Amino acid sequence: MDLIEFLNDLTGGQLLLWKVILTSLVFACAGLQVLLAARFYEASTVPPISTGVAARTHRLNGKLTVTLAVVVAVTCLVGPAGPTSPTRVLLHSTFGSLAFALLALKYTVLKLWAPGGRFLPWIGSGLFLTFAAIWATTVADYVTAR
Amino acid sequence: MRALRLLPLLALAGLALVGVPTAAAGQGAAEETRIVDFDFAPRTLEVEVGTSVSWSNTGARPHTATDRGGSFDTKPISPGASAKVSFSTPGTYFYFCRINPSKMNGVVVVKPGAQPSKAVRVQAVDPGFTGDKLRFDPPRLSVAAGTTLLVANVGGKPHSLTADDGSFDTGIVDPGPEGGRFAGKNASVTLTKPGTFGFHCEIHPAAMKGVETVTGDAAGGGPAAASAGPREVDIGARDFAFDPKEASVASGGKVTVTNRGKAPHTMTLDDQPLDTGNIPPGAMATLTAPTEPGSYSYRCAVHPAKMRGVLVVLGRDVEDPTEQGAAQAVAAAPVAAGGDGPGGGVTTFVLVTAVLAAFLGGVGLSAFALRRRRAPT
Repeated sequence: MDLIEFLNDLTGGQLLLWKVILTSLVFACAGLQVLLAARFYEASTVPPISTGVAARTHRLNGKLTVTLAVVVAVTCLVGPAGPTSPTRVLLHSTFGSLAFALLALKYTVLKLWAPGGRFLPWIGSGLFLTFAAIWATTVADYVTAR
Repeated sequence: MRALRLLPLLALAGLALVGVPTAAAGQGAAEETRIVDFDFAPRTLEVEVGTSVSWSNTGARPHTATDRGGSFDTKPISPGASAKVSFSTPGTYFYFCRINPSKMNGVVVVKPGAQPSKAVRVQAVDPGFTGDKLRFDPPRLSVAAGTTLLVANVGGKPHSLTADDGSFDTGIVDPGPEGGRFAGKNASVTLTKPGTFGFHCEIHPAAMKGVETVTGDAAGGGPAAASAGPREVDIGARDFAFDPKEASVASGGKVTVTNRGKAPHTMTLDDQPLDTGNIPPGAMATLTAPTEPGSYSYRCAVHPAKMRGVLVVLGRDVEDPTEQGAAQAVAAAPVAAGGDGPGGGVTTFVLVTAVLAAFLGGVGLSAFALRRRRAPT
């Protein structure tokens, strides 16, 4: 079966709406990631949890975020989103690619280049802002295009 | 836990393996419309009844050609592929791509042929999505007795096509999800009684009117039957409105009224001896709908100025002409392509989620920024 057909059937013909929902969830998870990182880097005292718990939650939430982001990215590749203009497509593609480039960079630093650890807050912040840009070029466009 | 660690990697591997969708079926047609990213060319196509229209996707993305009135849907057409729809019912068809519903819209106008058609399409249009004015398209038509009217709601509001004398009635035809952003529903009535009939929309009677001339005589005669209605309907009474204001139910069906407000309410029909009596807050009452098809206005006897509604009673079922030889206008089974998934609440959900995300992320970013500023001291 065609993948786009399969996804459409899976979502009862509401693929676009589910993408909008998942993109928003990814954005929210990314925000939580930054907050948790600020906690275990001891840059912040909120949320009021130990740095260990914050770190573990950060890893778990990160896996969830990446998984959801990949699911949305797959649907973007096989079936484009709703309101579309060439500029939006260009921006969305740029930010989408940037998000996965930053993710790859983050995994590289984590697994292969320990000295680069001091850059992780910057990479994480960049990821959050990239997800915000993706949200703005998709969901915000969807909501305002009525 | 180990499996959990692998989840993102598996997902990334899946991303890498995804290819372009395979080609859709269907090729060759009397008329052809090209799909480009993100438009139809031409946007308006005029064809004779019985013509097959082929949509060829010359873009780089999958698209659909989907009737706004829910009578056909090509399903996603992959780049380079095409799909075909045969039109044997005259009328105007507003269609769109349900993957890009805001941007990609087109029109197919199917002109009647030399032989009278057994079905004719009428569109209920409103400002909901197309930005058009409230109207029937076409507002005047002349058909032979025995013809089936296919009434397609291509707008964003509920409509009906109801004879002024009550001799035919589609009942309420629902719009597409998200205020008509996606495909709406359709209904049908078969006209067997010769004569000239004014018709209107029960919900927008002042703005949506038309005239139908039925010629000749059909076997079986008599007034046309209405489309099917639900056997039961639930109506909520809030402070101070009925929800929904318009509801349809089958002849003799069960009407349940639930008081969801804090004040007592009733459902009292204006011209029928039907009354629930006072329903206390949180309680419910039931009524048996009238057996005679038609539209019945009702009120809350306690708050008659504020709380009014309309109950549409539908007659016996009629066969769906889209499944008969009478109307083979569709290539795919009639569907409401928009589906019944999440609707208007999505906007609220995504906005709330975004505000939450911005707040969480903003606090985190601020904390990092402040720490960096404090660091030199």
